[in-house]
Amino acid sequence: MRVIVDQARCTGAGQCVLAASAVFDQSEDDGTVILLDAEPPEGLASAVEDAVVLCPAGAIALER
Amino acid sequence: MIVGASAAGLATATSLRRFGFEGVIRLVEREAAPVTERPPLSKEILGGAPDSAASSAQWDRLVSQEIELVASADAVDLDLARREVVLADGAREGFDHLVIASGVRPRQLEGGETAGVHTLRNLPDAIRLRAELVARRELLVVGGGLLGFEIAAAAAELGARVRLVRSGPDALAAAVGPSAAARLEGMHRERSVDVVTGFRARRADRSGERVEVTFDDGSAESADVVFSSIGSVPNVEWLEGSGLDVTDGVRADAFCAVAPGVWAAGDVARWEHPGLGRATRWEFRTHAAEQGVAVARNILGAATPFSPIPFRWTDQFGQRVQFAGYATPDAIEEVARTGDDPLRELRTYSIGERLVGVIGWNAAAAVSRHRALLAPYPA
Repeated sequence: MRVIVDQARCTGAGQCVLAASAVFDQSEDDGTVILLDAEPPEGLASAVEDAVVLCPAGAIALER
Repeated sequence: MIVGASAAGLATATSLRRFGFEGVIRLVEREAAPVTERPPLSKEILGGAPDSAASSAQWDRLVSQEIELVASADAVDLDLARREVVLADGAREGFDHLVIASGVRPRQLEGGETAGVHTLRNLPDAIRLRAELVARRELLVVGGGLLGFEIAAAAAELGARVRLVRSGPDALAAAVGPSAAARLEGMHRERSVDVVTGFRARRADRSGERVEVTFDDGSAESADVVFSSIGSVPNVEWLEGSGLDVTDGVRADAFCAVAPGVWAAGDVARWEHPGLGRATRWEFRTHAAEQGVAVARNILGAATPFSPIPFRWTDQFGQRVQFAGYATPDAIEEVARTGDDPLRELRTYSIGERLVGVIGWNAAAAVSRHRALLAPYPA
C-alpha cells in the first residue's frame, strides 16, 4: 500500500499520529503532517486506514 | 441506513466497508450534494480560499466504495416497529441497522431569518457571509463561542469593523481554557474587534438597510451585517414520533446504541460516556469521525464501549489553539514550555499523577505527544 499526504489540507490535529505513530509525525514548526513511511508494512494497514478516516481535513489517502 | 452524510455518517459508512461489511449501505442526506467539511468554512473559506478547501475527502470516495447516496432527502419520521425511515416525499426506506447521524443546526435568533441574520453551517452560508464582509462594513457578531470569535477574526482580517457581543465569558473559556481565552480576547482587541460582555440577544429586526439586534435589557444595536452563533439545536424532530428519548440529542448507551439495531453518532448523539459516568453530547469535528468508526465496529459485533478523550481546536489571526482532555478547576495547571517563541505555549492539567488535559498555542506536535499520555477521564 502507498500512503499519500496533502500538507496543504492538513490542520495539524494529530489524529494520524495517534492512530499510526510509526507512519505519521508532525512538524515541530507548524504541526503539519510528516509522512515517515510512504509504503508501510501490511500489518499497519488497519491503523493507516484509521488515520485516513479520522483526519478531520481529509489530508491522507491510501492506495493499494 | 445512515441518516446524515456529514463527518459522523461518512466515517460510519466508510468504516463499515473497510471492516468488511458487504451489504447495502445507504446514506440519506438532507442537503443537496456535496456535503463539505465544516471547520474550513469559518476559516479558510471566509479568508477567500476556493470552495475546494472545504471539500470532504470521505464524500469524494463514496462511489468507489459502493456506498449509495440519497441526497436532498429529508428524513421526517422513524417507524421503529416496521424498521422504516420515512422521507419527506413519502418514501419509506427499510433498514436492518440504522445510524442516526443527523447532526445539529444553528439556533436562530428570534426574527433572525426574516431579518437576514447570518448563521454558518454549510458552504452556501459561508459564501453568502463572505460576500458581505467587505472593508469598512460593520459586522455585529452575537455569541462568544469559538465560531463567533473565528467569524470576528476572519471579518477583521477582511477589513470589516467588528463588534462581538456575548452574554458571558464562559463559552470561550470552556472551549480553549481560561488563559488561551484571555489571550485570544486580547488579540481581538488589538485588531480592533470590540468584545462586549454581559448582553444576551433577544431578537433581530430589519432596520432599513441594516439589521438591529435587541438585547434582554432592552438596549439595541444595529450593523450592516449580523452573524449569530448562539448554540445549536440537535436535528431530532424527525424522531419525535418514534418513542426514543430525544432530549438534547438522541439518547444512546455506552456502545452508542439507541435501541436494538439503531445507533447514533456525531453532534446529535447524547451517549453514555463510560469514563465520565454520565451522558454527554459533543460537537467536535474529530469526535464525529471517532464515534462513526466506533459505531461501525459495534454494528459488526465488537461490543466496545466508546470512551473518547475530547479534542477541539481553533484558528484565529494565524494562531492555532488546540485543547485535548479537560482543564477542570481541581486540576493543577503547569506551563510546560514556552521556549524562546512567545507565540508558542503548552499548558498541562494534572490531577495527582494523572495528566488529564493539554492546551497548546501553536504547538501541535507537542500537543499530540501529550495527548498520547492523557488519562482517559478526569476523575
